[in-house]
Amino acid sequence: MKKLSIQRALNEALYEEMERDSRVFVMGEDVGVYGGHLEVTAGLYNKFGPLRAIDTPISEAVIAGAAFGAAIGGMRPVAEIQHIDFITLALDSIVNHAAVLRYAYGGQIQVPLVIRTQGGCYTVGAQHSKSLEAWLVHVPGLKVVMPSTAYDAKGLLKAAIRDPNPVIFIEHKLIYRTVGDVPEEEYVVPLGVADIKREGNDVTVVATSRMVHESLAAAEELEREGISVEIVDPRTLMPLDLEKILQSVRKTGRLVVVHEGWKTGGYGAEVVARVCESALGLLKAPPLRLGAADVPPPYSPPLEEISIPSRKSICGGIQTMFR
Amino acid sequence: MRSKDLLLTMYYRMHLTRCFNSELMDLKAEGKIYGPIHRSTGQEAIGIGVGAALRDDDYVISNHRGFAHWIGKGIDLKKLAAEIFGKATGCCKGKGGEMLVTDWAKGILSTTIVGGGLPTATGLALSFKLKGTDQLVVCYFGDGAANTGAFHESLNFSALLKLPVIFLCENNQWGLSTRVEQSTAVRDIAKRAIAYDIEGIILDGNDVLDVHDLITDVSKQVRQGKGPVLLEAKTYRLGSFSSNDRATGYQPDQEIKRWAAKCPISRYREQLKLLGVARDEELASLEEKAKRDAHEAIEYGQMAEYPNPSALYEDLFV
Repeated sequence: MKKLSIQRALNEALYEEMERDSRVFVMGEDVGVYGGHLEVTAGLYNKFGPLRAIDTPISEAVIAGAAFGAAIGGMRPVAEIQHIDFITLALDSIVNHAAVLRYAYGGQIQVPLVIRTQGGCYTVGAQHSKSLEAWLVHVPGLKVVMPSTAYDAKGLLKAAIRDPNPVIFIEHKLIYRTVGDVPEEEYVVPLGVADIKREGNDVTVVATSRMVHESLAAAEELEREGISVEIVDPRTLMPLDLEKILQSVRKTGRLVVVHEGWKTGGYGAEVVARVCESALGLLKAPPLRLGAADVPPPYSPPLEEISIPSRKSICGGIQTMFR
Repeated sequence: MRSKDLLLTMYYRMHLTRCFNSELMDLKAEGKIYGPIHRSTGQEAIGIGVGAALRDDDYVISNHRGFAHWIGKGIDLKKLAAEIFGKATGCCKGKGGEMLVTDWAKGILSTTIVGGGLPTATGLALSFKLKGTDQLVVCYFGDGAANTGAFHESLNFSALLKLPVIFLCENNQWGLSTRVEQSTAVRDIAKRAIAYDIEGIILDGNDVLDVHDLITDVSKQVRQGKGPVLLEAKTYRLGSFSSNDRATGYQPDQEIKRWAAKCPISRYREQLKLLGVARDEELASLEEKAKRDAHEAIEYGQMAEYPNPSALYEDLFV
């Protein structure tokens, strides 16, 4: 094992996949010479050259659209959309093309496309702090991945690149420097398999991305109060490993979902609905959804802090389930 | 030099496009087709001339008005008809419909929203460059699509990377009910090539020989890696936008009549006679054959089976 930040783990995944398969290339704003605005593509330009680490203009529609076109042409593009907020400019290519056309063409094409982007709060207000994963999960034909650890980040990105379908890979800016254990040897984390990040008996917390870490901190605190928290990290929102969540709920009888996306129409609503459809009778308490406040992300620090779930609000929420 | 065979194939295909599209428009009017049919009348020369100048391994990216593009690139007419009727033996198993007609093995695909073909063409051309082949993409779009942001982003990016793509604007002067002068601040869309430091060429879109000559010529430089070109084929939509157009009279009768006199099929017929390629009898027999083939394919499409319900979830993911 070695210690790597999520940022370095992602970089290793890209590097190894580009070495393994000459069809893999990265494209996006500042991904080449500069090495990525958040350094995830560092070194790729020097190693693989300007045609495999392609610097693009500020043109999100053509970044996603050309990546789609290259994918159906037999390449394995990994396009970057800087900040998920900017994915709005690329949605025609993602929602009307990449997600749709294999189906609409009766299976004549394959779309081995990865779009990397960053979501989550980032001290920069509504410009760059949104979490739009629920939009993408809503569209059939896309897979959606949100890693929370260095191990998962590397293994899932490799799986996404090898997957013959379009994958939206959502990273989180505030945990890029979070360090974790990563094997020295080659490994892949399959898409569609959830992971138990902490075992417990009293309540199941389904958390995504950075909220896994906030939930882990909350679990430590609650442990001292005698509440044993189990944390399930879906890792891939689509396809969802519902069975692993149900297994946990069968044990605990309580369900909390935590994410940074807005609560209304958020991903947690889907998880809660699916659990209730399958196993309402298992629940000892009403399920709890913790998501961003239904406002644009505010810039001011005390407002940003209370606009998204935190260790504190997760603790508070879970405590109310036991009163 | 073009062979007689090629010249007459183009004539047959132009007729086939006209007959096939007209018969479908009529059937739609009788309520016998589920979705819309977009009129290709008057624009046959472009898709047919282009298709005859391309190689089998080149690609065309079509739009919602694609009959000539598809037939020009050699689509199987029965599979096309079955697709339009939503049948299981359609080229997309009935799931695409008239606006998404695709036959990947023939190098034909159609994309969804107006302007959406341009980034896709850019990416397909990028794959050719990265693989080191000398294939090319022809991206068809209309005067309406020339005003989307995707147009600008795609031409800029393709020019930067010198990608093998021919951007072919079919300026038929109408975006549904909006005249090109009302939507477009420049008289000649080809002029926009200056903004990307690429070649912009205007051509007569109602002259199949002009179209064929120009594509043959520019495809050489595009294959050599000299970068994209922007072509603007001046043409005219001889009638309504589609079967769903309310045709409120926005398109002046006088204008339609003036352009009908420049019909690309009648004009080509005269050229073939003047050039001594074929006489009336031979041309008439091709016209008969086109009409028959169109009708047979449409009958096949009508009679073919719908997909089974089990197809609903098929082909979403690999």
